Amino acid sequence: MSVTVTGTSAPVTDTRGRAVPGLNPFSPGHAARPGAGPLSRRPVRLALGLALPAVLLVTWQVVTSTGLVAPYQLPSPASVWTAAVDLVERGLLGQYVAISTQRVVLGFLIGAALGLAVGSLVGLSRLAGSLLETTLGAVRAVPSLAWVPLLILWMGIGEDSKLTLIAIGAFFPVYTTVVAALRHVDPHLVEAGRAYGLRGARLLGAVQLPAAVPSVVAGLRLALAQSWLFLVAAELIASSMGVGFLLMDSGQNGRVDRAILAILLLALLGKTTDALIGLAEKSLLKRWA
Amino acid sequence: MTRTPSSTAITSTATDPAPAAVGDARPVALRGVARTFATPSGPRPVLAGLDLEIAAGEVVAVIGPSGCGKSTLLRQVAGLDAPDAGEVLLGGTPVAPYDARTAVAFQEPRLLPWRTLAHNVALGLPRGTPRTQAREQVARLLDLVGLSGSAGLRPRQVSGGMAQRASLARALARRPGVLLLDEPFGALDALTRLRMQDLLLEVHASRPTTVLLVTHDVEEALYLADRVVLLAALDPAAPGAASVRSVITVPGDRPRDRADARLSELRAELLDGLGVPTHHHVHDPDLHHSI
Ligand SMILES: Nc1ncnc2c1ncn2[C@@H]1O[C@H](COP(=O)(O)OP(=O)(O)O)[C@@H](O)[C@H]1O
Ligand SMILES: [Mg+2]
Repeated sequence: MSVTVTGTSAPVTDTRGRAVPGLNPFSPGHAARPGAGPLSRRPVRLALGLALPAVLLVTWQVVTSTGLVAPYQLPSPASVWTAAVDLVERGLLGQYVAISTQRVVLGFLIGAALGLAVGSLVGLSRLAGSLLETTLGAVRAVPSLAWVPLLILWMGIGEDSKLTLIAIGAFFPVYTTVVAALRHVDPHLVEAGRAYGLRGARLLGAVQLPAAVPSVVAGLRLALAQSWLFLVAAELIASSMGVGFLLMDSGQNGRVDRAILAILLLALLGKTTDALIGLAEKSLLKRWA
Repeated sequence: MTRTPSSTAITSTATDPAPAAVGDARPVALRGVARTFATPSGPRPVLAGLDLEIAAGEVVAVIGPSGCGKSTLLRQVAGLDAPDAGEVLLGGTPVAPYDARTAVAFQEPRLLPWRTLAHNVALGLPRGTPRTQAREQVARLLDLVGLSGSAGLRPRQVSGGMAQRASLARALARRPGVLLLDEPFGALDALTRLRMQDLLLEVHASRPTTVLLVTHDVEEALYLADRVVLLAALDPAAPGAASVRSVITVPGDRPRDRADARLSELRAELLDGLGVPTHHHVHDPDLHHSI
């Protein structure tokens, strides 16, 4: 197609003098902006995201009701629902969900706060970095489950040992991202801050921390996911309530329906808290990135 | 941002709209300044034996080919970097790290991306400026550089030229004794550049601070400066290390006629010094003295 451009304000036209819509950015019928399309609409994306779970649910229903899979291996969706209703009626489900959520939130908050503090120290001070980095790196290398027996010996099987384990899980993603982010703050911006009289805490607050916000938020999100992981580790091994306990207990008693219920609960809880932190991330990034 | 209300002594002069005392402007002296950078391929001498005296309130332009050390020179005066040899004095005392008597408009705008233009400019205000005065001054400075309508925008929402003007406003907000400008108009379109040059002259006329201006635009140097310093490698023994090759005193009072014949004379001479042939052969030795 040959295209003639006649002056800056005239529309771009083809050989017959008709306006070429794609080349006239201000004409009403202009082509879509890059990135626009059905996938840029929220409801469309939401529907697509729910499509796969719906397919899985239907498949689940079909394979159980046709007897393709034995009920002791995979109970039907209806019987998992019944198991849930049963636990709710006994007042256990709400309690399990509440205690697990509480452990995750508290452990996450403690671990993330410590991760922020220690990470800032190590990221900003070369002395603190030299002193702490090797040791913390070694501690980080210890697989999470290895802590469980030790923590139980030290703290008993109460809440303390579980919160500590979850805090350890939340600490490291925050710690590592904060250290890396602070070390990679644009040196030009830091220099400009110093040239305009900022030092110490003021420089940290005005330049370094804001510059690190995007990666720190990503670290927090990772830490929350890790908190759920460590929660299950803690509850599987030593607990008398919680979603992880439900999982272990059903496994020992052959209650596949409850085990599947526990898995679904973990997926739901993890996704919900992640969505919440995602909302916080969005508003933070709007402000700081 | 926290502001201490106790420091009213500083701000009483900072808020005075009338020209501040000329005593604010500081003379600058560079004596035998040398700077060599360590690079993976060995030491890289950038400045060597550089001498330059700038009077208080004088406007001096530094020109030279790109990579010859202009920004490095400016950084020595700002206390962002320290020379390996020689000394840099501001008002007779050695320059301090991040010297508060200077303000730099960097070659890149270096605005904080998470702050609005107005808040970026406010960063330049002397510490302790009361809130209402700060707001007034920021508004005045933004107006001065033609950014009133963009005060609430973030740096990534504006063009490179607008960001550079905000960076200039931030430096002006400091009311420094020595104003250091590193190619401050480089990202501006030709028309805005002329306007900003006049703005700088107005600011200087109302409050004559010492200005050290790096530019690669010979015309700009001749329009703005009292003297133009040509930076170039002198010493064949230290290839690459630049020093003051020549200093040209620009005739005429500012604002100058951009079409002044004497200026085009000097322009040819400077371009010659930069190694750009101009095919212009008239020469007036009175206006030129080598060091
Ligand atoms: N921190 C540094 N480390 C190594 N080399 C540097 C450093 N800063 C500047 N240089 C080198 O010094 C030379 C002069 O740089 P600069 O002063 O920025 O030049 P100009 O501003 O005149 O274009 C360049 O070759 C540059 O690569
Ligand atoms: Mg430069």
